[in-house]
Amino acid sequence: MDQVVVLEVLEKSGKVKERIKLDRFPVSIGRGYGNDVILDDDYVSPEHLSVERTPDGKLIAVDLKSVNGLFVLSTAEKVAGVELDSETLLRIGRTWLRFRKPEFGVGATSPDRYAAGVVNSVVNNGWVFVCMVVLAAGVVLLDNYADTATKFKAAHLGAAILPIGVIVIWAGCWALAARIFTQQSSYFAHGVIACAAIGCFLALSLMIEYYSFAFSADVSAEMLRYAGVALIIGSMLYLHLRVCTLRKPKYLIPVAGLLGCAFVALLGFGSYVVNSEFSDSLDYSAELKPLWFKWVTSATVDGFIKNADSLKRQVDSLAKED
Amino acid sequence: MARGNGRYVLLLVSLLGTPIQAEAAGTETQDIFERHKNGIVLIRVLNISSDAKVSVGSGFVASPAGLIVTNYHVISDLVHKPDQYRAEVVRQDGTSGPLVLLNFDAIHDLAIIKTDSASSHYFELRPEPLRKGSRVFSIGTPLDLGFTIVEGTYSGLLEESLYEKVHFTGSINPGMSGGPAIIADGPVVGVNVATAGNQVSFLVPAKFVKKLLDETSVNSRLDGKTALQQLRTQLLEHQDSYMTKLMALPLPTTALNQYRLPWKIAPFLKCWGDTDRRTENLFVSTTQECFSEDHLYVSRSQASGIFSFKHDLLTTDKLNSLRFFRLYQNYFKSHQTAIRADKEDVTRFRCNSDFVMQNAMTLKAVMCLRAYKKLPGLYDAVLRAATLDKNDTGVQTTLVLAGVSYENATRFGRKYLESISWTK
Repeated sequence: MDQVVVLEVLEKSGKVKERIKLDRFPVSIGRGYGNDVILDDDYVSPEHLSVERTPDGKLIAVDLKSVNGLFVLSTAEKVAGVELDSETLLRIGRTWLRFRKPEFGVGATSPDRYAAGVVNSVVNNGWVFVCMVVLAAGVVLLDNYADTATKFKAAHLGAAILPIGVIVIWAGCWALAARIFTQQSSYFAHGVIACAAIGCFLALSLMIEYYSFAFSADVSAEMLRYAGVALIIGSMLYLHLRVCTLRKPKYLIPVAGLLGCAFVALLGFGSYVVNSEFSDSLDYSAELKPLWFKWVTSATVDGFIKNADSLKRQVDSLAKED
Repeated sequence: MARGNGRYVLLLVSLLGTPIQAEAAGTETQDIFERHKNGIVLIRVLNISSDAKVSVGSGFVASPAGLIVTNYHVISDLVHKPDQYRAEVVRQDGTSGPLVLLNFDAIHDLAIIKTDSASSHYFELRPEPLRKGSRVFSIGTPLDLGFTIVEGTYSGLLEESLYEKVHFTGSINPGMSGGPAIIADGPVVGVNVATAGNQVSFLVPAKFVKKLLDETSVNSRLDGKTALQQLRTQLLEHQDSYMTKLMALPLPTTALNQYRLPWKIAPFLKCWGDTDRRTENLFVSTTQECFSEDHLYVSRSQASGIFSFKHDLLTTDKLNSLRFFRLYQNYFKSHQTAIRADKEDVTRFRCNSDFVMQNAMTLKAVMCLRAYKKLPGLYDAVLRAATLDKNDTGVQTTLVLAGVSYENATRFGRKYLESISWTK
């Protein structure tokens, strides 16, 4: 038996599609069924390539006068034959090939966060998902309950339909993406992330309301709202991508952060456009809460009225702009 | 609350109104019309670029020199957009001539115009008020349907009005704006200006016409820029006059639950109140409001001279404090200004909000302001305040001042806030 060599058939991205152990040479490679290695590639000739051991023990690949030829990827040159080592990448037709010896070194084993970790056992679990959906719907209904001042009607429960629908569809989209990239949909994990995001959005809006009231701070409340939205969107995207792609945090954090910021920038731009249009609405966000949430001292009537000077300056300059 | 909220409808025809039947006139009425028809004109405002008719109104010759009186609102397009609109005067015989604006009084809705050749027939004025119940004939061109005369009754001066007007019981209709209201032997007692429907109409008293005519010379032509400047001066002086009077008056208060809030400060305010106890609601809302029924016509798109305030009391014994404050907050956010204006007239509102301590009570107060663009120095101001001391009861109050100076807005705003109090 000859020395074993492993032939790797690669995807265009560089990912290994197939590994074939070769222990006898010459090995014929081509589209024809009589070959030792059969490639399903229309651009590969029926008898395309032969891998042979030379008398002095070297491994060479020889083009069998194929239609499209043999290429060495490092030089992108068409060659009749080439000597192989562990790094040589060959292309025949639209297929990439690499030959490695069994003693080729592999990297350290990665700890498995996915298969045996939290993601699979807890988050990607149907029961956890159902519980989270019920929780999210409950929180939405509670918020809606606080917002209505009329007697209870069954129709009030309808408020939960939209968020549940959004969760189901949103998780479905991510699961589809995950299925494509990792061959595993992790539908429940994506659903759980969506539920958590809805909860976070409601909590954020509640916190901002109380903050804005407590400190009578409309402007900084708006800033905080934007920061919060960026954080929630960023975290949500990070978690989705993590489940979807299994890539390391160092790649995903900047991507998710950037997307979160881009979303908020878009929101800010939208609000700028709306604000620059004429409207006769009164733009104030005067939240009203019980008095014991108030943290700042009150102004006097005089002080409050004097503050209108700044309004006058603002509207006077607006009037001059047009 | 619809009651009393409807403003009067000005009699300008924007050519969108529904046609009405001209009044069937009796023999005497026809005689009066025949005697005076030569002094009546039709005024047409036209778009310069398309030459299409934009609106029509009426007018009458009021001096031997051929000065014609009409309403300010009939020709306001010439003040605001002289580059886009022109107007013509159509005489009884069908001939027409260009309209030249000489003077106007926007507060009483009057304008003096002239054209190239006026009729020799002119109307005398009778500035003194008539006896209530006197017969009065109103002449004009309703809906561009030709000249018409309507008989009605002089029902006296509207005493409780910010803008003095004669109440005329008769059906004057859109398009009759600017036409004269005369007594049987000829003199003009008022100028048709507005209707509130159902035979309730209004005339501008002749004394204001006389005053304006006295101030106008045949050669005092107003161009666009001077006209706007004059409008600004009139509005500023007018608001200063009534706001100064209001500031001098003590601000009466009304009790709403344990709160005391501003109430009918002047006779020109109409005040209403109602309580909403719909069974599906878990709260009771009581509204009290006062407003000046009339407003000033600034332009087709803009109203001014509005003075109103409103209190909303919300109480509940069925909502917990979390739900009550959500309701209370939603109420506070949902206010609409209802002051008519376009983006060419005013800026956006800018608002400030803060906690205000008043009579040992903490209020959340919001002040909003927007500036008039073409008439600098005038503002629309909205002041809102909400009490916060209880978890099941609260009152929110809104003051709206349209077309006031900044100084008057803040002076009255201060007085208004300072009058709010409560008893524990």
